Order: sequence, then C-alpha cells, then structure tokens
Amino acid sequence: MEILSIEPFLQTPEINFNHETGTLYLSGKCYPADAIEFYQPIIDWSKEYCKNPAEKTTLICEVEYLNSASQKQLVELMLVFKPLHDSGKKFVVRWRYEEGDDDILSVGEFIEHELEISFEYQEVQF
Amino acid sequence: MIVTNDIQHKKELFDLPYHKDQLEYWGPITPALADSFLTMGNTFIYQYFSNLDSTYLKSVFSSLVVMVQNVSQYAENSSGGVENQVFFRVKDDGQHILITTVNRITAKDKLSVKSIFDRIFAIPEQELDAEHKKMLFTGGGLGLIKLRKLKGKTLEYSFLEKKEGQIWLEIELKLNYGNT
Repeated sequence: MEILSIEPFLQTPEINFNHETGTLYLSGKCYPADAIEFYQPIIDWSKEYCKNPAEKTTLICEVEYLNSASQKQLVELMLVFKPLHDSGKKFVVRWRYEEGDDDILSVGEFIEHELEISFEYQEVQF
Repeated sequence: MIVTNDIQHKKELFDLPYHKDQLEYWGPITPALADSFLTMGNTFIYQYFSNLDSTYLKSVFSSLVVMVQNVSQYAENSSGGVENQVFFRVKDDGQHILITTVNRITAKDKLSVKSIFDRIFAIPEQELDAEHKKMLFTGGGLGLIKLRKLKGKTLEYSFLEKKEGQIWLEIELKLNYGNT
C-alpha cells in the first residue's frame, strides 16, 4: 500500500492519506463537476486501508467549499470507516471549517449524528 | 467587425444589455465550460466585491456553484433531448448580488422540474435542516435546499415559452449585501 497523495487543483482539495501514521488529510475547495470520479480512488484506497489500519486513524477534513455532490461523496467516504469505528478501533474525524461557515459545520453535524462517528470540530481561517 | 455584430445580434435576441458591473456567459455548456465560468466567477466575486464581508461572498460563490452545476448537469444528462443553450449572470445592483441562470429544458421535463421546485419551496423554513439531512443520506438533490436555506435572499423561478416546445427555465437568486 502506498500513501495516497493528490495535489489540489482549482476545484478539488489536497489529499494526503498516510497508511503508516493513520493521518488522512483532505483540505481545500471541493466542488468538482464530477465528484464521484474525484472521490472514487479515495474511497478505494480507504477500503484497502481499513483491512489493515494504523492503531489510530484521524481523518482531517478541512473544507473551504463543498458542493452538493461532494457532500454525498464525503458520506460515502465516512461509511467506509464506519465499520472501523464500530469495531472499537480508534477513529476520529477532525472537521475543520471556516469561522462563521455554518453550512459546512452543519454538514459535519449531520454526518456525525447519522453515522454515530466521533467528530471534533475546529474553527479555522483559510 | 463581424464578430462584434454577431455578439450584438445574439444579445439583442435575448435582451441582454452590456454592463460593466456583471459577469455573464451565453452559449452551450459542458462540465469543463461550467468549471471555467465558476473559476472566473470566483475571481469576479472576490475582486469586484472585495469591500464586502468574506462570509457573505462565500455564500454568494457557493450559490453560484449550485446554480451553474445544476444547469450543466441537466444539459449533460439530456444531451440530444434539447438544444444546449444556457445563460449565466452575476450582477451587482448596488444593494444585492443577483445570480441568474437560464437554460433550455424539454417540454417533458417541465412538469417534473416544476414539481421539484414546488416541493422544495413548500418546505417550511424550520424544516429545511431536517430535509437537508434526509436528502444527504437518501440520494435526493441538495442544491435547491441549500439555496432556500440562505438568509436575506429572494429566490424565484419561471418558465418562458418563446416558441411552441421551446421552454426556458429562469432562476434568479438575489442576495442582500452581508446578510446570508
């Protein structure tokens, strides 16, 4: 397994998923026209990672913009980690949102409540 | 000045005056063109309205993304079913930022599009969050709900039938300065 690294582009975020440290970092603007195409390799990598995860997994979502399709793909991504969380492995989502951005905060809250996954919220400045 | 005349002719056909304080696109749309317009839109919004609150500008741009991508997605899904023609505009009227999209839809789709709009517009404000959450996990579209959740806005839509069977859907979002 290799580190998953994707450079940020105009409408897509930086991705750095490290299987050795268990730190999975997603940061930036996220409004690709085809969100499924963008997220598929990330979801595939995550499924593979969950077969042999690090002792602790931290998914850091630091999202500046999030279009509707990407919201749904983030749900799909979280669903991959749900069994890991439910099996008692340490898994936490660090949900970083821009100060005053209630929209992105509420998306995190919706996912947290629906999937019953631990979220830590942090206001940041982009 | 053949090109200029051609543009003028097209703009007159659709009653599109020239203004320096707006960004617009008129023509066929593809996902790549929609992306390009959004990139220009981002620059326009953040540079032209740089004196306005950044949280407000973020809402404006997020709304533009919803509206442009909805139209682009419709055009992509219905390729061959209807002539691919759209109009996008971001405009300042001194108190609001207005975002307008106009696109051709099929006569067959008019009823289903109208029923989606009617349903989303009928949701009481206090139930929008619950609907957003429901749609997030059940597969429905989130864009219109996102627009309805904006504060200090006017959101309107209408259908225009220029010729028989040629239906245009116009959506206009008016966002009060600094109140989203």
